[in-house]
Amino acid sequence: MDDSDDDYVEFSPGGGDDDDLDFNDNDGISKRTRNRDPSGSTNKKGSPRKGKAVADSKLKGTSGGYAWEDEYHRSWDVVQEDEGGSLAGAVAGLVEESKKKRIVRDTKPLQRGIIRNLILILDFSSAMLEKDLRPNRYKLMINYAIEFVGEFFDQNPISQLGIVAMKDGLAMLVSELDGNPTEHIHKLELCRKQEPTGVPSLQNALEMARGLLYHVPAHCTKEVLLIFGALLSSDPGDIHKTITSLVDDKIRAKVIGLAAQVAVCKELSTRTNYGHSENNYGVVLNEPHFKDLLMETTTPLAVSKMGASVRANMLVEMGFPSRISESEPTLCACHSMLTQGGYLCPRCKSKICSLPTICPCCSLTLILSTHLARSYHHLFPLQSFIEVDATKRAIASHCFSCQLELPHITSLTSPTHRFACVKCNNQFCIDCDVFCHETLHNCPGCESMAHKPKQRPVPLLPRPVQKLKLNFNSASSSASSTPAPEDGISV
Amino acid sequence: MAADDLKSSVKEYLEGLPEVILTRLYESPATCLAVFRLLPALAKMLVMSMLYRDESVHISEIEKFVKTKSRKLQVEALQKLKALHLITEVRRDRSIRLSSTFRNSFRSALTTGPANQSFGVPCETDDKHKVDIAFLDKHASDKWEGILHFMVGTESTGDFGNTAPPPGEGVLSLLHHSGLMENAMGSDMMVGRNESVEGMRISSGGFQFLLQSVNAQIWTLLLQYLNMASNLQMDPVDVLNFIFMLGSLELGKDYSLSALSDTQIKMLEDLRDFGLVYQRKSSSRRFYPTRLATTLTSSDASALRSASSSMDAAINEAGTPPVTTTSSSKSLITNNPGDSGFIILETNFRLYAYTDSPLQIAVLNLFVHLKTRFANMITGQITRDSVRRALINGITADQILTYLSVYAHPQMKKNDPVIPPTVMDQIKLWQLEMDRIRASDGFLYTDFSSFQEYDLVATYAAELGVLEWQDPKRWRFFVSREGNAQVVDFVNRRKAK
Amino acid sequence: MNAVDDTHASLGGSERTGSDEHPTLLGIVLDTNPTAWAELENKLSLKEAVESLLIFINAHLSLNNANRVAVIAAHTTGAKFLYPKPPSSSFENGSQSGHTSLKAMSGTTGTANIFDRQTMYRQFREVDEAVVGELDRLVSSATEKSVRSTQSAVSGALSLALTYINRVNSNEDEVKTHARILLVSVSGDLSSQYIPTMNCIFAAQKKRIPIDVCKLAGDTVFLQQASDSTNGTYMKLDHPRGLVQYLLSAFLVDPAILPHVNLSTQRDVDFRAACFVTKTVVDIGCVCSVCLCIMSKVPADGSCPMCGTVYDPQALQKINRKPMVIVKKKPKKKKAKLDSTPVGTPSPIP
Repeated sequence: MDDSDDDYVEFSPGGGDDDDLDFNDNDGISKRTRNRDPSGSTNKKGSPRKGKAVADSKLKGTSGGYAWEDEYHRSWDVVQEDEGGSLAGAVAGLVEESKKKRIVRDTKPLQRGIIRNLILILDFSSAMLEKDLRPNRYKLMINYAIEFVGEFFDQNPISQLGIVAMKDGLAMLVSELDGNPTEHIHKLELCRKQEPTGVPSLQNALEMARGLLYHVPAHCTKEVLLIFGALLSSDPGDIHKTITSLVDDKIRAKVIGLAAQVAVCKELSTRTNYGHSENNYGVVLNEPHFKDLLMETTTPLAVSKMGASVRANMLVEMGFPSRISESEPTLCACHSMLTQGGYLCPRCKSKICSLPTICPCCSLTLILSTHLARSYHHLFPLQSFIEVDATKRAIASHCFSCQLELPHITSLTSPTHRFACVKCNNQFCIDCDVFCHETLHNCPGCESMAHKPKQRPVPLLPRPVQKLKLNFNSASSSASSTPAPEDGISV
Repeated sequence: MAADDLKSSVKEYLEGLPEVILTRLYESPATCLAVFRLLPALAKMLVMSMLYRDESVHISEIEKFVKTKSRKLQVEALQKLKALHLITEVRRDRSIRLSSTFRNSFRSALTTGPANQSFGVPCETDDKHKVDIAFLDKHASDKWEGILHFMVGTESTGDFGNTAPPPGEGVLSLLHHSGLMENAMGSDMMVGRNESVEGMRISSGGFQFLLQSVNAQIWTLLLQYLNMASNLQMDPVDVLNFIFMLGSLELGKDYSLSALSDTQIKMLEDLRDFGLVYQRKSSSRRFYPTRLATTLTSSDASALRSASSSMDAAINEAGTPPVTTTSSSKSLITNNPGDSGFIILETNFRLYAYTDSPLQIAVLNLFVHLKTRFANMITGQITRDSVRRALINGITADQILTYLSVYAHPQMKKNDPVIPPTVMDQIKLWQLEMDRIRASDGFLYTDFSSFQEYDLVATYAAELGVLEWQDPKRWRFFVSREGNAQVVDFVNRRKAK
Repeated sequence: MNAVDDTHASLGGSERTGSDEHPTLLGIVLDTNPTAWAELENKLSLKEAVESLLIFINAHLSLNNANRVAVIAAHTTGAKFLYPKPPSSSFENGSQSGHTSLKAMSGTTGTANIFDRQTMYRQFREVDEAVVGELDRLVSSATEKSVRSTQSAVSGALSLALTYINRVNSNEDEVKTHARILLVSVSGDLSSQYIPTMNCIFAAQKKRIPIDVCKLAGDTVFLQQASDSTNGTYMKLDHPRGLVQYLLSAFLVDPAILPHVNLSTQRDVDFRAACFVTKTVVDIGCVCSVCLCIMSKVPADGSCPMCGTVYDPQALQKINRKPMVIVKKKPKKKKAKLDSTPVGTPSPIP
């Protein structure tokens, strides 16, 4: 048994965002482990060590010491009462702060792998019985996984998902790679009754995922999302070899740790993402953070340089079936059940219950044109709104889109609570900002302006993608640069 | 729930009226609108789809429209429409049509066709002594809470410390008539005024009344008023039309008396005593509706929780100067925080109420054991004794629970269910305790000669399921009235053998 | 103890029946495309349509006291709130200016009666005056700016309606408000707004807001899809003159009785896609894996006409391949492939 449980615990409270540390592949782990020598006192203020110093600066709190050396911040000290002794203002500020956090996101039009194939690997090992997440890790994971499945297919209607569980040192197939969310959710519901037992085996699970993704054509993405609660993996062979074969298969892995960072997971996420582990390995801080990390994965990944070969660009043949209504129930091709009405495959005329799917007879991808349209917002994301600076421009009295009366501005320096679209300069309240970016994906201001004919002849991919592709091709293999080329993108 | 009860009571009253009176009622568009709102959802839809159709509608069309499994709803809706004489049925071909009076009035309510005055006639000239909304709210709450204070028997100290005078004679007789208050001495109502004020005591119905929402309270009194009105030779059509008209008026505007009938002018005096309208002098030719009146037909509870809170809200609004003019769009959407509830109830039966209104405190005192009182809140505990006291006063557990959930603090409203289940069940259990003794008619069997004989008959009775109680030690048992004959028969047969 | 449970259940039951009457927020999007209305003039003028719409709005408000409405015009110059009044014109809220514009409108039309709302129910009056006044201003201001655009900002108006509904719903977490959108559409071609309109549809679908479409002229496939995917009603009026009757009977459905009635709507929706290049409707097409554009045939130069991606020539060949009759070989091959896909290669056993 090759134990790969170097359960190195990263100090960063953010979990997995300190990639400034210089470490490449394998020897990085040992180096870090060595860093953890007992002479803790030398690490205190101003440690002379290179590398560590960078991390230290992140870890240090406001007082210059480590976070755990800081005085305990009581939540009631942070909140300030206003003149009237009311907390309403302070509470509203906190609420807005959290909303702001949600709207800061990457809105660059990147080429993304729209047709995705994702294997969700769930940890069913005994470590999942821990109650540090309420009600316990296992139940929370199942609940969130069910939500995730719904959201995943909502965002990626033409993608496929499979679920694998790690239990008793084995990999168990929970549900096959399939495009039907109800099927997956049903299987996950059945898992609720199970008890998590034994140790997990990363290698077995990854090999099974690799097997499931083996037949996926090149124009689709192959992804693995691992939710890992344990701090060890009990494997039959060399896990590093498995990781290498994942890299060869162009399978990208993302890991969400529930306990602490594990070195082998870090390696997995780094190597399968062309040397970048940020955004691909996160350790949860609390329940909402877990959910955030999980839901981030519903956005399709940007196609990275290595993946963007000519082979990946393909024309896919798809069928757009017509809906039929019948007076008498007939057998459907997908479940062999009697159903009334359904969709007819345009090629072989077999009846299918729900879309999107792959025709069970002629294996043609069957979708509705609305499903394609649903993915467009990934390709043409809405630009972030910027907070209005009261000193520079006029302040609107009402939110442009919902007509909410915006709070009065007393001084020019205080936050304005107004957010403006960079294109149309209309000002919005924070709720509309969040709604526009998370649900609507339109700017009501831009859309409310006069539509000039031929402003944008039906879905045209903005030029950036083309440019971007050039970037991909011309990009050298300097691994230390930022993961997605941020330069040269303009709209 | 309270609103539903109220709706049904208004509806029942209307359904009891003869067709002639109803048709006269429907001549007023305001009344049509109010009646329309009382209808069940499906009936509303049917009325709407018939409104602009000149030919009659065949039943089969409606049957096509309503799903087969919901046939019950359709029957119910049509029944309601018929009871209110809104539709007439053409027997020959099973088709229905809308009552033409109603149709014309309702159409004109939606479009304002020929000039009608059912929505009130605003004064053309400016009032020299114009009053603002804050004043009206204060007037309303002073009057209305004065009545409630009188009922509870607390010293009503208004927010500014002045004691409100006891309510007028009309109000007193109404309270007495409606059975909300009763004469403690049991003496006649025709005694002198001062004596009656001293002698009146709240009845169990009055306690229940106190727990209702303000809107429901007003309606209860108004319905009572209607009943009295027919005795006083007042035309119920005029009274009803006036009530429904009040509900459609605009707060803060003055209206002219010119369009009112004599009955209605007479009514105005009484309504002034309730605080529904404001008139500077009784001879004044104009009147202002208060918030109590304008929210009459809006059964939505959030519109009006209590007069005092809405007054607070009005004062707050007046305190922030520039907002008031532009607040029309704002108030449509944001719920005024002053209107929301104030009670927080914990699972350990402890209750916190953010109120300084002596009235609310008095009402809470009906079923809560109050402990401490602070400047803006009181704390208390719901105990077995406090609830028993309320139950003995005739208040039911459901009423307590409704009150608690209606006035729950917004923070507590987020819970589901609003009231902690432990408290809810316990209050209901306490009510069940009250009904511990169950009386049933029947026959007692005694004086058996031997235990065997007793046992035989008792077992037989038990097998029949008619045995209510038995005492084997003293050889006695009790049989319900229905089963007695069989048991007697059995004993006789035994004897015969 | 049983008795307590019973009372509990009955309490829950009565609450459920009480919740029948949820207030509804109705967002109305009125397409005011001047060209389209001019074409429709003989059948139904804009003024008549607005009159019908006002009756409909009043009817909606009279269903429930807490019902609310928002009216948005989708004009060729842009989308604009008619009610609640946009803040820019709120300072003119006084009766004076409101009345003059009303009179201006009623003066030109000659029939003054319907706009004389002095004695109207205040709730109705407020809305009606705002709608008529704002619409008046919109139409009169638009004539100056010579109508360059021929398309109404339907997607913008829908976006506004959705954000407005979103805020109303997020504000009142205690009272659950149902919301629906009615789109009164007259213009046919909306193709340049395809993506934003689709985004609106998905947002509505996610928030469970039905979009009803009342089509007076023209026909738009994706508005059919809009009402279909959001469980709304799509109706193309054959007799626009009867607009009031259509509105009152088909679009005035209380959400509480929705499960009990059969609504008339167009059931067969065209879900086929149009080729982006040739604009022909296809049922089997090729989709670019990068930008998802749909093509009826493989492009000659082997690159995407929209995003310029160069395709893998091997893959193109595969699609272009003509069907061939292979004796017995093909089914076997396919079967083998099918078998291997789902089970996959099992994980290595230690």
